[in-house]
Amino acid sequence: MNEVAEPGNAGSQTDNIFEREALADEPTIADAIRAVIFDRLSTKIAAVLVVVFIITAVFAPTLAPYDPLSQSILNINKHPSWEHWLGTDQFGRDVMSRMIYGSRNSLIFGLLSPIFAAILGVTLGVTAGYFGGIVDRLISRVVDMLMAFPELLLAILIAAALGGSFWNIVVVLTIAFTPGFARVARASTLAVKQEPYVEAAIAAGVSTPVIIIRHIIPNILAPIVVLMTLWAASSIRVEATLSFLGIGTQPPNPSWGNIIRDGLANMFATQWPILAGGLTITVVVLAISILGDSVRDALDPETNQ
Amino acid sequence: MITRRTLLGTAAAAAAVGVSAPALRAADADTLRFASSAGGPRKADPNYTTQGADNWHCTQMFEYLAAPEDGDFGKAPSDFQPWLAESWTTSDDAKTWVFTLRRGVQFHKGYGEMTADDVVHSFMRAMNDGVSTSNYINISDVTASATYEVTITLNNPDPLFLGSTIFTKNVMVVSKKAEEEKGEGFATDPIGTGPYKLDVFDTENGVFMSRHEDYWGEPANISKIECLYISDTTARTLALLSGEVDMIEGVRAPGWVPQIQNQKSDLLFDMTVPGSFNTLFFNLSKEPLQNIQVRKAIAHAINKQELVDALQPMARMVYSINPPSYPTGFELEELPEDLRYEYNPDLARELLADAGFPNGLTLPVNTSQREDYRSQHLIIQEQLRGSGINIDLTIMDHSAYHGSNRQNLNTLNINSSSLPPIPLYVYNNYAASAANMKDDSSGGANYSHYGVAMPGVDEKLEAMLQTTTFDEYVRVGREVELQIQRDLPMFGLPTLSYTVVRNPRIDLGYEVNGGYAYWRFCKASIVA
Repeated sequence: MNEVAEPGNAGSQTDNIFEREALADEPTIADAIRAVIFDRLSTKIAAVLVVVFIITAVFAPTLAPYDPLSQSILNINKHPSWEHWLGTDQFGRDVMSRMIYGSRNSLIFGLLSPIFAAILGVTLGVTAGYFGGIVDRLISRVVDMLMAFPELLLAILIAAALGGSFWNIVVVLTIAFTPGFARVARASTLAVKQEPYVEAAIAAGVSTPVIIIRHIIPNILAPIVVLMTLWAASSIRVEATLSFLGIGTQPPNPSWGNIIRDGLANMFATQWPILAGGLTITVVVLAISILGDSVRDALDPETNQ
Repeated sequence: MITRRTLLGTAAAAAAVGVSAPALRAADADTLRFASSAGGPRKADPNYTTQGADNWHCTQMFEYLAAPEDGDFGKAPSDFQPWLAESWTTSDDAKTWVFTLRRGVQFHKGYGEMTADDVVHSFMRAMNDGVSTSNYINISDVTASATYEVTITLNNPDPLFLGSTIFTKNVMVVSKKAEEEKGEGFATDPIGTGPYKLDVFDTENGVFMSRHEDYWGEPANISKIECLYISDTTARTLALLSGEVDMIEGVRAPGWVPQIQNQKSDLLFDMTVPGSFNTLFFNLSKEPLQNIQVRKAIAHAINKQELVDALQPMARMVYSINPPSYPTGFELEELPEDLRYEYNPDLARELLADAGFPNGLTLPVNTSQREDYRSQHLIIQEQLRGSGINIDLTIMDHSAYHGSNRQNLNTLNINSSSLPPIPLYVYNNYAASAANMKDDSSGGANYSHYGVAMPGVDEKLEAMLQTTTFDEYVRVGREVELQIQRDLPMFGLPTLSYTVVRNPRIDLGYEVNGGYAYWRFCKASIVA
């Protein structure tokens, strides 16, 4: 970042030209990703797990054997059996079905929040990086301020103030993740802005919005995509934490977090909801993180060499 | 240098000490530890306690003029025994009650002997201030007719005066001198006459008490009592299983009693019967609950038998507001057919359609994190879903839940309370317009606004007060019960036994059969 933050001397311009030539010979991003995924066993497993997770979430109504909300007072606190693979909870609800429906929650939050945060963060970051001056200082200070709070603390603060409805949690996670995207976008914009093609476009009289959309954004997208994969794991984790604390997804709607919460109060009767919830969150978050790491490796020229 | 091995060794040793220390401490000391399910103590003054857990320490430190034997409500006037009053007489019209006080009753910490002035003061403050003033509106005057004699005049006769008024926590006797001296500080540094006196009031951990050595009666067996607060169910249960505490407030959630029995088979369960009333209040100031068809639809959509089954062995069926074993409670067959509100989801749908909601409706409802409230609301939510009524549930902290109920922010709140078999007490608290809940939380527990948002039972309650015989009183009381059932501002859900789980090393000294959701420890002893 430092290198690109102080461009303008002839030496680095030459370097840039050289690098671009080298880049032109490299495989495309898609090729790189494919290569990384199939190169490593851990990534392969992670990819499979993520695919299973997504399929489960998308086809939850088909896959879940029971209605996740339907109670059966005669069947409370049952241990795993053929009818109920993960047993039932204290209301006789099928834990397996609740876990499957809970995955929808996790997937939706895992996708929506990083996407919204990316849109918001990139807008802020590019604006700050491209225009500089007072705009940059203003945006950067706000971002710094938000960054001073740990994301979980920020999420708890906002959730406690707004209450825990679906969109509130999306808003919470979006706000919590925006600063990260804004920082990366700003730094990348500063770098790209100095590229000759941008200077050429400015010289040719291309309007600012077009420069930003045609030349800046496509060239800063790689680190943003990496960040999105990493935040997807985080947002699943934060949503589970909020639900565990009772300020996330509200019962009776299942979320992995509130399945663990309910299970904790009922721990002496059946341990399966806690085990299932805890293990699933661990596995899914780990898989997405491994995948995110691999994507980063693929897109980062330095580690890719 | 710290190596990994020494670090692990130290950690293991620390863990071992940490696990075993509380158990040793509990077994050695002459102390009874009770843990309730609230976050921490708020007040130790019986006229101002708003959370049930605080009554546990109040009842060790304060006393009534007269009370039934430990372990139940007094069912008849003859069940009441002299306590701080040695004897009493009542006039022929049952409107004047004269209590002769016991002599030589000493307040805690050298605050002197209890006299009629203290008793008068205790009654006056319950009538004018505190959390249950509506219960004392029948009292016209309380005077000290002699140093050891108190005369209470009533506006209307009350054949159940001992149960309805004397045996209520708000009029437990406090030291007038101490309250005047301490002002608001009295609530955290209380002075009473009970067998235990306050040592430490710790808002974080609990209330710590020790034996009152100048107690007028039989001194307490165990020298120290600790009323602790552990709101987390799992932590509280583990504290009991490890022996760190001797008694815990049970959890009234589906399947809880059997699962605890599985953990440790020798644990004892003290349960009140019928236990807490669970009353579902329809907030008549909220759309569309003003509509009787909607209320009836909700009543028909609730399967009470399923609630009873889910909450075994604590739940007992109720067909109206009062449980059938109470004087004005009804058995199913005694109710007119249209007032039975038997479970019938199809009828519920029809009623909803009649009310203009053919596609069902959605109601936002707040509930408490506490398991008994939460379980009931979640079960009812699922039952109502079957009739097209969607409950949008928000689960909140227990205090926040009561706050929202008292500030008119809830729609279908449940109130759980151990109420005595005194019909007027129940109606005065829940159904009288004087107990109307107000937006600024200054009101009472009439969460429906019954008698305010719609005509209520005030006149019939007045008529109850005019009766001079118990039979007549009950007859009018049953009319009140039926009218509430007809107007349906509230709906009786199954009662739930208040349950305390006890380590067998503690012998309570009496059996718990019923009564309020708190009991005395002065007869308890450590047997193992």
